[in-house]
Amino acid sequence: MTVAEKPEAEKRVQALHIVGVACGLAAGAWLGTAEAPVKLAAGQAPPLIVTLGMVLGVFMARWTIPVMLKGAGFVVRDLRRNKHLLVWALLAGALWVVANTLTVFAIRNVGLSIAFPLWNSNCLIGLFWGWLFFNELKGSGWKGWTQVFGGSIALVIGAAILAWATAERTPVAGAHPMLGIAAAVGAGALWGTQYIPYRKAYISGMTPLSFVTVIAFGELITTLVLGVVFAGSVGNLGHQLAAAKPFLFWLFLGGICWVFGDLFQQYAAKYIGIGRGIPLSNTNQLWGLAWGALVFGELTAIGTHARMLVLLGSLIMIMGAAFIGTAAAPASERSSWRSAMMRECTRYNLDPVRVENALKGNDEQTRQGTKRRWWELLFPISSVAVMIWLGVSLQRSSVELNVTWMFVLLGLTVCSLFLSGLLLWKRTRFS
Amino acid sequence: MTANSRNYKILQEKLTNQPPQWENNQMKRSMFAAIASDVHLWVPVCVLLGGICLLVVLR
Repeated sequence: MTVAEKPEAEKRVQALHIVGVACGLAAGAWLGTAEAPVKLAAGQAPPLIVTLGMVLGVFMARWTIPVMLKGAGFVVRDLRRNKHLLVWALLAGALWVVANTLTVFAIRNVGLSIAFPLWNSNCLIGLFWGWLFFNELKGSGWKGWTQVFGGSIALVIGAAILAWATAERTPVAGAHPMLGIAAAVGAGALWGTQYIPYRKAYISGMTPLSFVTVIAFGELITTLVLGVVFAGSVGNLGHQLAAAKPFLFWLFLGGICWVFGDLFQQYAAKYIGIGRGIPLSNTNQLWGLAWGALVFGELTAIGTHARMLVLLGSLIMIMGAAFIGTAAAPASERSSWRSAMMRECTRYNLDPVRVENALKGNDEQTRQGTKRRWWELLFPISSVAVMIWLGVSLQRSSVELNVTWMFVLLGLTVCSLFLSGLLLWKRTRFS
Repeated sequence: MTANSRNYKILQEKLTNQPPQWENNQMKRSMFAAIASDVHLWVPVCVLLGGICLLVVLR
């Protein structure tokens, strides 16, 4: 590298760090917003039907968005050149669904105030796997460690305070506290481990837009299997799903919002690693809280002490996110990332130049684009048709909403989509 | 497959700019071996199995 090229390369690294941080924060906004439509349907159907309805919406969006953005040809070509990663994509989908189901048992047995901080520790587990398997934070020095580890701890503590201040703590009849704690810890472990496949895919040069299309199959298959087991038979599951049709629109909408959040999360994992990416996307709790408090009026009954705790928890979380957001990986850490990438290239016979370019958001194939086909239009058309079909049979919800705050939060969330999407497009072409 | 027919097949694959079938098979085998011996696979698999066992107990 010449002396003139060096500052250019440094600029590129800085630019990608900013892209990663913006994606992490946008992920938080969209994952938090996804909770709002689901709230309108929760309680109207068994928890596994709520998950299944959401996963169906997720499946639809996980195919529609990538095909709209890059084309089916691009997705198929990227999957073909990274065939070995398909098994990890299926695994990631299965891990998410099992973790999600465990949270139902955790809330049922110990309540949200205890369960939430336990499974929110997933960012620390992800940090550990990132360090152990993908050389993240290796060579970052004490400053990097303090910022990332300290920021993650701050986010966990902030989340714990928020959960403690806002959740109801009425004793649950017939609950098994130890089983509830085991379920919450298990959910955290599964969610933290789910990031191994993510990072694995991206240090092998894959594009998030194609990786998520296969994750969707892992999610759908696992949810259907669990659904049949819990419902007792395929027929029972079908009946329960049909009974939930008046609320399926909200679940599908929640699933679509969730996919936007997850896509940003995947890009954050690609450009800043899982150690930094997961804690930033865990700021979704702040957005969930904002929707709950401002739009659904959930905190009107809590006292001044609890309100102060909410403020304190939120400030600690924002501080933690700021700490991580400013912790760009130094050259020594990036060299450790590179050695992890080279290990994957050697093991799976990948072209190191192509993979390195992909990690820098400069993948030649992504930038070239692919020829679009007319039938790709069927993806968005059928998605819109499904939403209209579900919308027609939608039953009016009795939940009262603050419409002004709803539009304010929606506006902010959409802004985060456009700003982060624009950054991603300009700097990486969704590579 | 006789030696002649195998040579013919290899020639044909070269002409159509495709890697020979046996080379493809070998690559596939080595890919599966690489996946099967990858610790990055077995850690998530074990965690997933643990989660499923926990679900069975909770149910």
